[in-house]
Amino acid sequence: MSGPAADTGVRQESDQRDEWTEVIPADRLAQVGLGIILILLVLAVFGPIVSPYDPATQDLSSRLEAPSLTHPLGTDQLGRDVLTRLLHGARLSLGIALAVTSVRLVVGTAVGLVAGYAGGWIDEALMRLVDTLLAFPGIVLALVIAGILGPSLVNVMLALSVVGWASYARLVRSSVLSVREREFVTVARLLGHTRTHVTARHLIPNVVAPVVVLATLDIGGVILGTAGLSFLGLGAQPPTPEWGTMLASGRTYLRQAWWLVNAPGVCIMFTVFGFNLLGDSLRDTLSPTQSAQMEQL
Amino acid sequence: MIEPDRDAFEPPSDTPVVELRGVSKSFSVRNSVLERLSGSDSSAKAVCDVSLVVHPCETVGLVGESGCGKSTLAKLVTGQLTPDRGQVRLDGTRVGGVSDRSAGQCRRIGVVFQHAGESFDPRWPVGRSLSEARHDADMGSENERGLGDIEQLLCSVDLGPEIADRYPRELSGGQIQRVALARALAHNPDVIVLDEPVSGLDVATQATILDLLADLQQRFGIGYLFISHDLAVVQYLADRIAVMYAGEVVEVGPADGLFGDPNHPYTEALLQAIPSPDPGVAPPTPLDGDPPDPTDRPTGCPFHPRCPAATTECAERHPEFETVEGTRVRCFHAPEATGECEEDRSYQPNRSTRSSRIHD
Amino acid sequence: MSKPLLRVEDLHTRFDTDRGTVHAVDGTSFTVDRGEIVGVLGESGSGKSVTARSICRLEDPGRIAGGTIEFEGIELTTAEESTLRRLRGNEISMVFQDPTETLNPVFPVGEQIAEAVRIHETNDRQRLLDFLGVPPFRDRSAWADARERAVELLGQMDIPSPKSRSTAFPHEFSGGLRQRAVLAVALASEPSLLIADEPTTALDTTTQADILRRLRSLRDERDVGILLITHDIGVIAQTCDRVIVLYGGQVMEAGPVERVLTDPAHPYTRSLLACSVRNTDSGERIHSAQGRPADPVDGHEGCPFADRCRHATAACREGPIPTTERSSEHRLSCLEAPLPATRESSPQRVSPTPDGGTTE
Repeated sequence: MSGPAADTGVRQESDQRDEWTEVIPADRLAQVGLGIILILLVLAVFGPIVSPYDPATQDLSSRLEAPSLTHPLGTDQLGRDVLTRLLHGARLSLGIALAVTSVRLVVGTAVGLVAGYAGGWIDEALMRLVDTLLAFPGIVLALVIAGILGPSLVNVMLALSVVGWASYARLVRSSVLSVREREFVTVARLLGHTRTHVTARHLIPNVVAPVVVLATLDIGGVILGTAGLSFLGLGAQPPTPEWGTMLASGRTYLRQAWWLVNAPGVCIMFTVFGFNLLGDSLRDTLSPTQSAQMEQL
Repeated sequence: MIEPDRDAFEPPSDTPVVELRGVSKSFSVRNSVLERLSGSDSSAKAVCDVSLVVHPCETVGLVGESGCGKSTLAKLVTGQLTPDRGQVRLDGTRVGGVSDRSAGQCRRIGVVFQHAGESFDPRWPVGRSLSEARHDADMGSENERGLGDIEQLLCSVDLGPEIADRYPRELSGGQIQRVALARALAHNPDVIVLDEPVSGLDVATQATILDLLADLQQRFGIGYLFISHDLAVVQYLADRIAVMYAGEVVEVGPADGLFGDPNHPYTEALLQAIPSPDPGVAPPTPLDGDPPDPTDRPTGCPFHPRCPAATTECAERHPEFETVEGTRVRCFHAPEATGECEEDRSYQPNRSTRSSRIHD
Repeated sequence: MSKPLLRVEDLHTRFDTDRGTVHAVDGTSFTVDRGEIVGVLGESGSGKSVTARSICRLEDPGRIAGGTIEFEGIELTTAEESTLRRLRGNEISMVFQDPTETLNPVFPVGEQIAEAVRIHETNDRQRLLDFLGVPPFRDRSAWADARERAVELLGQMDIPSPKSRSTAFPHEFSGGLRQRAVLAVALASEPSLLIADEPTTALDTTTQADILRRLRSLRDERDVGILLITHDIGVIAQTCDRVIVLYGGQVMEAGPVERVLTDPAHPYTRSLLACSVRNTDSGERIHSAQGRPADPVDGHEGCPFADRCRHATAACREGPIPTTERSSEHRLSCLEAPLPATRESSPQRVSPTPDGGTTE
């Protein structure tokens, strides 16, 4: 009896190792992306605690100071420490990005599941709605919505959530349509399981992989969108240390204080870069058919 | 009909586990927007007025060329499709499609498909799929067949317990087919629909799976509806055989009679197409022509355009079943239409050995 | 007798994988002459398909690690890509298992045959613009001729109303018609060697008989050499002149079909024959071979079949197995031959073996 048991143990161990290598992508670029995101997360969580300055307290005596030992990234036009503001901004930007992406993901997946599984006129109606949303340039639509709702961070989040779920819905629907026709779903239905059971156990887990990839790629876009809308004055309002807002207010002092614009700009760039690297490699590790499906988006 | 084995687990009963009464199914074929606008809607008749019964502990073979409607018939039995006309009965009760059936009714039928690898969730180890199949089964009758847990289930199909931790992609064709069979057994079915269960497999693996099927039937008294295009495979296992052509059953009868002395010209053509492993036997004669287009079926007997014995009567009138030498056959000229298949007599199986098959 | 059309000598094809080097073809030698059909028989994983692909030099991602492939005096293992392209267009054609996958679904069948005709005609000077159909570069009259030739080829394949069928798309064809169209594409270049890799496995028995008859008439009428790869003993028996039994990438037994199939000398050939359903009466248990095919990673010491062989001795597992001539043209790789004639008289009823249930 020890023979088979030992065999099973070895087996499981190797399975676990397989799972790990699947989670941590093998290629170098993905590791770089993951590294950037992890560093950013650590900074966002611990940075504000460590920093001796307050992001909103003004110190007009030390306006527009160049980077130095006391202020590693200099100060802004109101004497606030840029590094501190960036760290607080990281919390804000990542938080918003995660929140908006989660809303997009949940709403989009739900709509896609309903459309794919119900079919018929429900599918028709939902997909026409999705088509309409996808026909608008997302950022312009978000601009309109945020404009109507009035400038505030919450409204920007709402606007970005509304415009973004459509691509999730379309992806989930097409995955559901193909998974639904596969034999293991037929078998589950023939076993007399309910629709809910089949959806929860077989459909959702099998469509989740491409959705996660889309979400990872999407986070970068949301960060850009938030920054863009804030830059235009529709999002976070001045003392809030948001990267886009910082960019907008630093713009006036571009000639005297280059660090005001460059610091948040570089932050945005690296964050988006990190998420895109990770998303791309996740997409590549999925099967070629799924990556072809993603490519169409 | 062959008497089911007396030593089988369940005593034979007169009620068939599955009965099809005059079922028909057609699909509408709409090719273009233009046709849709003009309203011309040609329908493809996949199954026409088929009646068939499967008793406990009996194997009914269903043979025919691809496109003859045998898979559609299987879907009617499992409830994936509902018939346009006619009835599907489980244990004497009329049932609808799978969404109308109770979970209990669904579990009376097991299925095994040709590509078993496809019929398992690729994200689950096969053990989990097995327990999913078992999960809702009646707790009371669960141990009745000694299949209380996954290990016993796997053991009943001659697989080791460690297979439960594997993923479908890690198993060979023969192994996954065994697991599929174990899953079909998991919920205590009365009948298992086997849709081309050995078609994609090697000769050697085919042999082991067929042996296993025979053993399981002996042990659990399950009825099989065995669908295949390969008569040689069906012949090995089946007690009764139904031959389908263009959506109709053209001949049905005990396996030995049908193989030894086919009465329908189509059955004979199928038999003659089997290549013999003996190089001394003359090569098989192919049947000329193609099966009819299901949207445009010939008048009269559907086989008449390809039939060597066809007369004008065959083209005009549709033959009804008549009983000839123990088989029911749909042909005006049976049994004279066939007969030059002397070499096929060598295929005549020795049915007497069947009941004496020893199980270890 | 002049040189054979194709001579494969001690061919080794290997694949580098994570688990080690897979010796898919491990020292295979055989010849194919004009006007003969040579069958390659073996289970899946025995190296049949890799052998075929290596001959066409489509072995990628594998690599040819040794041996020679000589086609009409040209050494293919070292040939230039342009030479290979010319040979593939003119001399060697290949037919695969699934006709649906072979034909391009977006072009009419006739167009695809005409394309093959044109490739054959234009030879090395293939011009992209001509094939893309860009007006001034397209040789219209040549294409018109090619299309006519396509219709002719379809007609030769007995496809009804070839003229109208040539403009039809692959999905409008039935399985048998599609495989005939694939044959027409393969024959458009008037090849002297046709490699058919499981050409009938996906087809019905009746359609199979038709395709096999066509292969035989190709051999007889056009003097084509055919390498027919299959796991179906019946197909080999009814079609081939000579047969090569492959196992673990090595030739186990080779010789004229009548001799190898009626009086097999190698234990592997015997076990293959024994587990064919067509050799078994329906009441009887099929004698299935023990164990599963040998793992080809890192090659074999000694005989690859030794682990499953009842006659295996220590010597079988050690040194290289010499090839002996049993009679002229009947070659054999077995140390224990000649074996006692046990095939008919093995009374023990082996239980179906777990095909890998407890191993791997």
